[in-house]
Amino acid sequence: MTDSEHYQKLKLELRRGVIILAVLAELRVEHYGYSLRKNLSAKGLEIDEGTLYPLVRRLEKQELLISEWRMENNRKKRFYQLSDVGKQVLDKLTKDWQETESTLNNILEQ
Amino acid sequence: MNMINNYLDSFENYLTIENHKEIRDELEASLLDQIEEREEQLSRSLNEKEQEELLLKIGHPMKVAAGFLPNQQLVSAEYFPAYKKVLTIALWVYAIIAVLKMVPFNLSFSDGSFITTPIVIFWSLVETGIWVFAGVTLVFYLFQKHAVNIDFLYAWSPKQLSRSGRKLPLSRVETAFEILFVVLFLSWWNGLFNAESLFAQLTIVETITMSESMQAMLWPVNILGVTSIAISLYNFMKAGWDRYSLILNIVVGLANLVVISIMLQFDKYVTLGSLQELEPDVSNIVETVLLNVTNVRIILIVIAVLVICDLYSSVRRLKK
Repeated sequence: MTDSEHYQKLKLELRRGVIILAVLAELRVEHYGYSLRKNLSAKGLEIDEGTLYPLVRRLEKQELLISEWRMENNRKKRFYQLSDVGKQVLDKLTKDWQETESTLNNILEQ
Repeated sequence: MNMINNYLDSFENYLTIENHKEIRDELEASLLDQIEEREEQLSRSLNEKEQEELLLKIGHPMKVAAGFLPNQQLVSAEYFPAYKKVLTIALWVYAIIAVLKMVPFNLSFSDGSFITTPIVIFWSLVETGIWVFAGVTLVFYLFQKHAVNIDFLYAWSPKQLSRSGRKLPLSRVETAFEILFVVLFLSWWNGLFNAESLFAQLTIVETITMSESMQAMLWPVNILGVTSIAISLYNFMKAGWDRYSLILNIVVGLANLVVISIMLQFDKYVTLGSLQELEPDVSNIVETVLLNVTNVRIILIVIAVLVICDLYSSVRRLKK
């Protein structure tokens, strides 16, 4: 495995936890699949369908999200937003992330 | 839009779960939104090439569908250490049983199967190994699928760890040869080799048999041989000597010396029938080689020397 391949694998691992927090944070406002993906992309986080849709289904199964099918522009779309449990979990994860970021910045600065 | 529909149909076929229709509808909605946006930018419909690029960017339908399926691993990281240990033990147990069952009954120097027999044994072991691998993997796959708790397998206490954790290295190849040698010896000792052809030219009517005093040593030698194999197998699996196996090896070695010293006192080792029917020169050879007590004693002394050397090296290892 080349250095570049090693780096790509490690980058993927780094992103894995971040994506969950990003999706939960973005769903403080209601989105359907494609608009969620577009918003995240506009803010700098690229995520493909193969990753995003299984993730939101899993989060919904864990009762962090709620969803409903609605017609919009003559097309059936599934809209997601945070559940009450999801909001609490998001708050906790946000605090954890901020602590982790602070710790990591200390380590990286040394 | 045939290509898009074909893609969605293929994607849905890979979804072997409930709600596959719903998942397909969701992906379809996303695809159509992307197409619509692109068409707005281009002010025209997407051509086939552009549709193809879009689908290639999403990825192979099997790979995309896999993200929605549960149990993406045959044996997950949580179960893997236990799975690996169980598989190793199971493969060794089956291999040992298979070899001990097959070797004595397949070896026959009379029909030249000395080369073909190991090949037969090897392929039989491979076949057995595949079945064992499949069985153990299936069991752990089911454990994982049903989230069976296997914490009891990882229950431990520092106090329970063996004092003899330190191992002295050994060569697995040498140990394998030792095991094979003892297995061959025990096969011969228990009369499982067909040696008739060896004497066919000497026209002996009856084959050589052990004397009564040697027959009395049948089971002591068997027990020591099997114990020796067990020790070698234990060391083979652990890839090293530990304190307990060294002590046991010394005990077995001493017992071997006792048995050899008893055997050295026998005045007859073999009995040969129908000697009178042989021609004089053939009879002379048989008497000189096979019935000569001194020859047998020399062999026993050589074995005793080898046992003493083995004892010496075991004691040296123990001191380390």
